[in-house]
This record gives sequence, structure tokens and C-alpha cells, in this order.
Amino acid sequence: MENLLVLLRNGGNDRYTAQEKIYKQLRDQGCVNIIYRSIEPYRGTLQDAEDLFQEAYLVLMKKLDKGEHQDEFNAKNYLVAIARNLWKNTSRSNKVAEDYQNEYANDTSVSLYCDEHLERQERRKLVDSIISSLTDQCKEILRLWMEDFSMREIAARLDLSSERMAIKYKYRCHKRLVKYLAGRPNLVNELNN
Amino acid sequence: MGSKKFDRIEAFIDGRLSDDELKEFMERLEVDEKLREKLEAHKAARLVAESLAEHELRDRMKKWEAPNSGTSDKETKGAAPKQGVVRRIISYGIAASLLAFVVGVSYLYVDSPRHASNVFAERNTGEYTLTERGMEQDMPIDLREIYQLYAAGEWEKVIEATRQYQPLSTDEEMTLNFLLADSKYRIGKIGVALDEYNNIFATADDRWHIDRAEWKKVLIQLESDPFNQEYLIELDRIAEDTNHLYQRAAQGLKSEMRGLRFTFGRLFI
Repeated sequence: MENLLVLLRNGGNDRYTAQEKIYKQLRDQGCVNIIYRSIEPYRGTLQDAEDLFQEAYLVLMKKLDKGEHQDEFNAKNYLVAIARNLWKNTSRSNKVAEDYQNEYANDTSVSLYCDEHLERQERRKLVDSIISSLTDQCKEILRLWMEDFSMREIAARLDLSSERMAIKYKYRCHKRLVKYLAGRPNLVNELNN
Repeated sequence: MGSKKFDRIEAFIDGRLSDDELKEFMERLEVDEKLREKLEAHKAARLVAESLAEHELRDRMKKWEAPNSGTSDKETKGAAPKQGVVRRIISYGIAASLLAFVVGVSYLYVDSPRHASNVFAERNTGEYTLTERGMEQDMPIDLREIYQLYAAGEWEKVIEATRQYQPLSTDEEMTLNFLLADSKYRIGKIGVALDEYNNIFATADDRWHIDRAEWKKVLIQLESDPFNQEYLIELDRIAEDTNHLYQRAAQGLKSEMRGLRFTFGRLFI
């Protein structure tokens, strides 16, 4: 896991490799099964477990990106805990599986993070509308920048003539996005809060 | 917004400002409302950019799942099917166990105690249809009639007749006792028959009667419990006793018993 975390921090293609390996490792460790067994008595289906696994994985990646993990970090346990909390929150909103909520009521280890994740989910639609205002090239360049690809790699991926051109395009797209948001303080407020 | 200002805000978000730069930036932030608004816009832009990365990650997750939808994934996709397989195995296991149980029980029923019983019962059958010592030649008429009843399988009548008949000799008395014991055995009074044979065994002073009673007793006991170690030891003893009148019969029975034990044992091997 340590090596994967290093790869993740390297960004770019290393990050992609690490993300895929972590994902597959967690799958092979039977996380979906564990989640399924955990939610099955509370009307959870295998599909729910699959969805929870993926959502929990995204939260986990976010946590790893922010470096919010301890030295003796157990990705599997953490992911399962996230999934349980996500299910708890989901069932709360759906008014189902109250027993499940009661059982895991004290498991607050990752609940805040999950709440945050749920809020982000709610904001997704909002974000999607903003994204739609960007050109495809801008979307791609900003994404690659967020994924810590170097400007040289971005240039290569986007068939740009040079690293300098990548920097230029990235700056232009980023500035365009900030300008778009700066003109919409309410939207910014909603996103940031 | 100039590029320098833009970069400064980005550097602040990334935590790339030096202590002095950070201090200066914070001071400006306190007094410059426009800067605060711009910072918020930058933060929001970061969220949007992060969402782009998340979208891409979701797409890649779908691709990672694609090969897993086959057979390569060990745990996850296999969750439900695996459970199905386990359930199927359990179902087949239960069905197989039930079948084995039914076959086993019927096998035991046919081949073991019942089959064994048949072996002993066969030896208990028809012995009095013709007497073994040619007694019929000088037999009293009343006793001959009892034999005829016995040969006809009129067990109740045999029992009644033996009670009424007054034996003229010890030999006749023993013959009647055997007829009585055997008739009781025939009508299913095994315990009583066994007592009769025990009685003959205890009171007879003729080797013929003693050996015969003992043999009959062993047969009845083995019929009720073919694999009782105590009864089998008695059978062994008779089979090894060269002076016993039923030695050869016991040896024959023993060889049949080996077959029975083999049959019985097959169920457990």
C-alpha cells in the first residue's frame, strides 16, 4: 500500500496506476461482499453494495489526495466504514433500514467525511451545469492539471506543440472558469459552503 | 485580474506561499473584499476542476469493472452468484445426504438385521417337519399329532397340545419343550422362546438337548441383534467346539455373518 500511496502522490500516469491497483486490490479483498453482508439484513441489495463500494472508493481517494490518513492506514477497513456510513445516510434519507442506523449509530469515524461527500453529491448537478459551460479542451486540460499531470504530459496528451502552450491553455481555461464563477457569487457561495 | 494576482491566489490555495508572502496575503485578505471574493471564486473553480477529475475516475472505474463482469473478479461480482453456488451446493448436499440416508437405511433394512434375521430364521425353520433322531418311528400317537400340527404351522395349537400332553419320558418332555419353545418363537414371543431354551439348557442332561438348546438360543439372540459382540463370541465358541453337535452349523453361520458384516461395513467405508 505504501508504494501505491507514493505513486498516487506522484500524480499523472503513476496516479492512474495507483488508483486502478488500489481499486482492484480492494475488490479482490472482498470489500463488496463485506459491504453486502453488512447491508443485506437491512434490505440492501448487491447493487447497493456495488454502488456503495464505488462511492466509498471515491471518498477514499479524496482522503488519500488530501493526505488525511494515518501511518497504519487500512484502506479496506476504511472503505468499508465509509460505505456503512454512506448506507446509513442513504437509508436515513430513504427512511429505510432504521435498524441499520441504530446498529451503526456509534460508528462516527468517517461520518463527517461521508456527510461532506453527500453534500458534494448534491452539488454535483450544480457543478455539472458549470462544467457544461467549458469547452472540451478546457475540461480536459483542467482535469489533467487536477490529476497532477506535468505540463509536458498535458501537451503530449492534447497534441499541443509545446509545454509552454499547455501552460498557456491551462492558464486561459482556469482564468475563464474563475471569471465565470466570480460573476456568480451565489453559485460560488453554494459551492463553497 | 492580472496574472500575478491570479498566481498569488493559486499559490495561497496550494500552500505554496512563503511565510512572508502568506502574512502579507492574509493582511490584504482582511481588508480587501474583492480579493476575498476572488479567492472564493478560485476555491469554487478548484471544486469544479476536482469534479472533472472525479468524472474521469468514475469513467475509469467503469472500465475496470468491464473485465470484472466476466469471471476474473474473485469476490465482488461473485457475491451473488457465489452465494447461489453455495446455496446450490448446500441443496445438492442435503439432497445427496437424504438419498444416502434413505439408501443406507433401506440397505440396512434389507441386508443387515432383517437379512441377518432371515439367516437365523431359516435355520430355525422346518427342523421339526421331520425329526432329526427318527423319533417318529416309536413316537406315541398324541405326540405324533403334535408334530403334525407343528408341520402344518399350527403354532397356537402346538402350544395348547404340548400343555395338555403328559410326557412319558424325559426325552419326550424335552421334545415337547423344544416344540413349545419353537412354536412360541414362531408366533413372535421371542423372549418367552428364549426363556424356554434357557430352561432346556439348564435342565437337560442329554448333550443333544443341551447343544440344541444352546444353538437355538444363539440363533434367536443373533436374530434380534446380529452384531452383538457377546452373541458373536458365543457363536465363535460353538464354531470352535469340536465336540459341539452344531459346530459345523455355527461355522457355516459365521461365514455368512462375515458376508453380512461386509455388507454392513460397506455403508461406512
